[in-house]
Amino acid sequence: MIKKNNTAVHLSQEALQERLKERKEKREVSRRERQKAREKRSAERTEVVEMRRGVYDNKNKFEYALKLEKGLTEEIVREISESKDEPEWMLNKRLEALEIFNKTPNPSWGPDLSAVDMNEISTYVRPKAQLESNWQEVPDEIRSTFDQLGIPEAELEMLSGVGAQYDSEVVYHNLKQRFKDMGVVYTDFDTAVREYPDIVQEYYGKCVNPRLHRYAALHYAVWSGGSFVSVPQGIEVDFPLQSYFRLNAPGAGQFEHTLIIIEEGSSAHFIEGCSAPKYNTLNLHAGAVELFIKDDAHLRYSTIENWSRNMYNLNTKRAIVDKGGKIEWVSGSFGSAVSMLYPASILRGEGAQSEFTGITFAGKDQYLDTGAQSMHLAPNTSSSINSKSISKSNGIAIYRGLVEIGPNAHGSKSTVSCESLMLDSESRSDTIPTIRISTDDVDLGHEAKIGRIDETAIFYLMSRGIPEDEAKAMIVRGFAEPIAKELPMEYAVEMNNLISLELKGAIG
Amino acid sequence: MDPKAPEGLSLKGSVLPNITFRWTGVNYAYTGLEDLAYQNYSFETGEGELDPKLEDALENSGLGISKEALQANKDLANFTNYLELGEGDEVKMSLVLNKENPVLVDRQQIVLKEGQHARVLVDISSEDDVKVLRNGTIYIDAKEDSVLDLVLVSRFGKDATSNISIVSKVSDGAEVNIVNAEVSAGRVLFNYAADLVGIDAQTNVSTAYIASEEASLDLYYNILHKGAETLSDIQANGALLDKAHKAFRGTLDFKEGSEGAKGNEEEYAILLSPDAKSIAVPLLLSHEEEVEGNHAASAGRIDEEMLFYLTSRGINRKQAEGLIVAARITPTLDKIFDDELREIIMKELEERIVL
Repeated sequence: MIKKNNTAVHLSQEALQERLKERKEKREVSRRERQKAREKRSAERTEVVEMRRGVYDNKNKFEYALKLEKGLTEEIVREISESKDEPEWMLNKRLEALEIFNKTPNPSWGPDLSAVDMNEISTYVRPKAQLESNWQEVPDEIRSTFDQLGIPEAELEMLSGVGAQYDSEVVYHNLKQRFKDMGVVYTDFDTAVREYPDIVQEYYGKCVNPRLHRYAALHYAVWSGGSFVSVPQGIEVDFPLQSYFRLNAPGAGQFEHTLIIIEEGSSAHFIEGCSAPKYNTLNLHAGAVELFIKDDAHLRYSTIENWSRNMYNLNTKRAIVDKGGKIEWVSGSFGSAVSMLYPASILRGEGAQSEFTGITFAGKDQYLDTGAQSMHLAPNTSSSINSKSISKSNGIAIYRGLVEIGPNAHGSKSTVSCESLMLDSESRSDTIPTIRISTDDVDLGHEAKIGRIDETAIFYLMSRGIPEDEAKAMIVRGFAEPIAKELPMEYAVEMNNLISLELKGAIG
Repeated sequence: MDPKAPEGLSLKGSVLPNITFRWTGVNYAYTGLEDLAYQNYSFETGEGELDPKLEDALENSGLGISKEALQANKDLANFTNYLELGEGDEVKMSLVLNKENPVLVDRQQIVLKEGQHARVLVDISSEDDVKVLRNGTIYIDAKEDSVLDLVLVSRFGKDATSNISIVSKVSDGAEVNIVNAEVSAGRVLFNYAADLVGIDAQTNVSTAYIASEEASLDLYYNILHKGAETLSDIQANGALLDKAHKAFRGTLDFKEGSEGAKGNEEEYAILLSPDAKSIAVPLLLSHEEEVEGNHAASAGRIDEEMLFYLTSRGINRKQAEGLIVAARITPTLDKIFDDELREIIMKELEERIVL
C-alpha cells in the first residue's frame, strides 16, 4: 500500500535556482582554499630519509657458537632441545607445537605476514658466551652493547635484578642476595626448566596455549631463553625486576619464554625492554609471556619495545588473575616493521582487576597493530584500557581490542578509551574494538577518537614565543604524557627522546 | 577457528570492512536467506520502472549485505518501486507479510532531484506465528543539495528473517537522514552504506530498537567519507529482552581526500535480561589527518538509583523500566512522521517491557 502526497510550500523556480547557485559558488571557494592549504602543508613538510637511532643501531661483530641451518624441521626442534639438555616432556611439547604450527594458517585479518618466511629465519642462534654470574666476565663485545644501553647502571642504581638476553641465550643473570633469601626466584627460563621442573611443568603453556595462533605454536616449538620469576606468598618485591632483550644476529628469530608466578598476597614489578640493531634481512620475534597472579596478588608488567625497523614482532602476552588480584600492563611500542600485540587479561577470580596503559608510535613504513584484551569471567571484576597512538609518514597505527563479559561476570565494570593522533594524511590510523556482553549486570563504557593536532593550541604556544616545531613536539609529548608517567624513569626519558627524534622536521 | 554458526545457517553477509579476531564471531552475520526457498509470490507492485543505471550502480558499489543477497534480490524481486521525488513529496508505504504473502523481495530506488527536500516512510510488519522471509534493497541517489528523510520501521514476529541493504550515494551538499525503528523478535540484518562522494555531503542515522524473545538483530553501518567536509552521525539506542542478541557494527571510514570531515557514532544498549547478548564493534578507519572521528559505546542495566527514584514515586518496577527505555528511544521515534505508527510502536514497547 503506497500513499503519496505533497506537503511542500513551493519555492519559485527562480528562487530555487538562485539558492543552488549560491551554495555551489561557496563550495567552489572553499575547495580552492583547501587545495591551497594542502599544497602549503606538503611543501613545508620535509622528508626524513633515514632515522639514526643512536646506540640502538649499533651492530657488533660477533661469533656464534652454533648457528643452525635455515628453515624449521623436526630435526631442528630436536637439536634445540638436545643442546639444552631438556627433559623428555619438554621435547614432546616442542614437537606437538611444531605439528600445530604446520597446520595453522596465518591470521585472516591484520597486517600481511606472507613475508615471514620460515626458511629465511634460523631459529636458534646461540652466542659463544656461557651463562655468567659476574658482569665483568661477560665478553667485551656484548658488554659494550649493554653498557651503551645503560643496563648495568640501571642495576647499580635501583634494579633488584637484571636478566639480559643477548640473542637467544641469557648471558648475564643476577639477583640481589636479599631477594634470594626471601625465596624469590628470578632466573633465566632454561635454568628454570632444569632446576624447578615441577613448578615449570605445572604452569608452562597453561596461560598461552600453542593452539592460540600460528606464532604461539612456533614459539612453543623453538623457544629459547627468557625469564622465570616466582614470588612466594606474602612477599613484596619493592624494586623492579628488569630484563632486556636484544637481537643481534641477522636473520635470527627470538623466541623467549617468560613465566611469572606471583603467589597469594605478594606483589612485584617486572620490566621488559627490547631493542635490536638494524639489519636488512627479516627478523622475527615470537615470544610468549605467561603471568599467573594469585589471590590478592599484584603484578605490574612494563614493556618498551624498540625493535629495529625490519622486525616482525608477533608476541603473545597473557595474564590469569585470581580472586582480588591485579595485573597492570604498561606498554610502549615504537619499533618493528610489523607488530601484532594484544596483551590479554583473563580475570577468572572474583574481584580481579586489570589495567592497561599503552602507546604506539608508527613512523615510516611501520604497521603497528596493537591493543589489549580484557576477559571478565568472574563476578565483580573490573578492567580499564587506555590506549594512545600516533602515526606519521605513511605509518599505520591500529588499535585492536576486545572486552568480553562472560555470563558469570555480573557486577563487572570495564572502561576503554582510545585516542589516535595523525600527523599527516599519508599515515593511517584505525580503531577496531570488539565488545561482547553476555550478562545484564555490567557497566561498560567505550570511547575513541581520531584527530589531528589542534591548530589553536599551536597558535597559542607560538604566540608565547615558542617556535612552531617545538610547539608541535610539546603537544605530542603532552599527548603521550599519561603513558610516560607510568613508565620507569629511564624508559620515560628514552620514550621522550624517541618522540623528539621522530618528530624532527617531520611534521609541517 | 570460526565460531559455531546457528543451526542450519551457513550464508554469511555484512562482513566488516576491516575484519578482526576470528574467534569473536563479529566479522560477519548469518543472513538466514537459505532458510526459505524463494517462491514466486506476487506482491502489489510500486510505481515506475527501475533505472538500469542505478541497478548497475548498486551492483558495482561492492556494498550491501553480500553479493549473493543482492543477486537474489535482482533475480527474484516481487516488489519493485522507483521514486523520483521533488520538493515536499511525502511517500508512505506499508507492507504486510502474512500466510498469503510470506516472501517479500523488495527492490527500490529513490532519486532526489537537485535542491529538493522529500521524505519517505516504509513500514514492514509480519504476523507473529508466520514464517516469513524478506530480502530487500534500497538504492538512494541524492543529487546536489537535496535532502531525503527516510524512515524505516520494521515489526517482525519471531519466525521472520529480514535482510535489507540500503546504499546511498550522496552528492555535493546533499543530506540523507535515516531513521530506523526495529521492534522485532526474528532474525534481522540491517545494512546501511553511505557513499559520501560530494563535498559537504552528509548522512545521519538514528536507530531505536527493542529486541525480544530469540531475536537476532544485526545493525551494520558503513559510512564512507570521500568528499571534503563530509559529515556523519550515527545514534543507536535500544533495549534487549529475553534471549535477544544484538550486534551493533558501525564503521566510519575516512578516505584520503576527506579533509575536514567529521564523523560520530554512539551506541547505548540497555540490557533487561541476564540472557540477552550485546555486541558492539564501532570501527574508526582513517587515511586522512584533518578529520575528526569519535565513537562511544556503552551497555548495562538501568541505573538502580534511577529505578529507585521512580519506584519511590509509586511507579512499579516494570513501568519504570518501560519509562526509562521510552525516554532513550523517543528522540528517534519523534522523527517518524506518522502519529498512528508511533502510537503502535509505543504500545509494542509497553506490551513487551511493562506487561
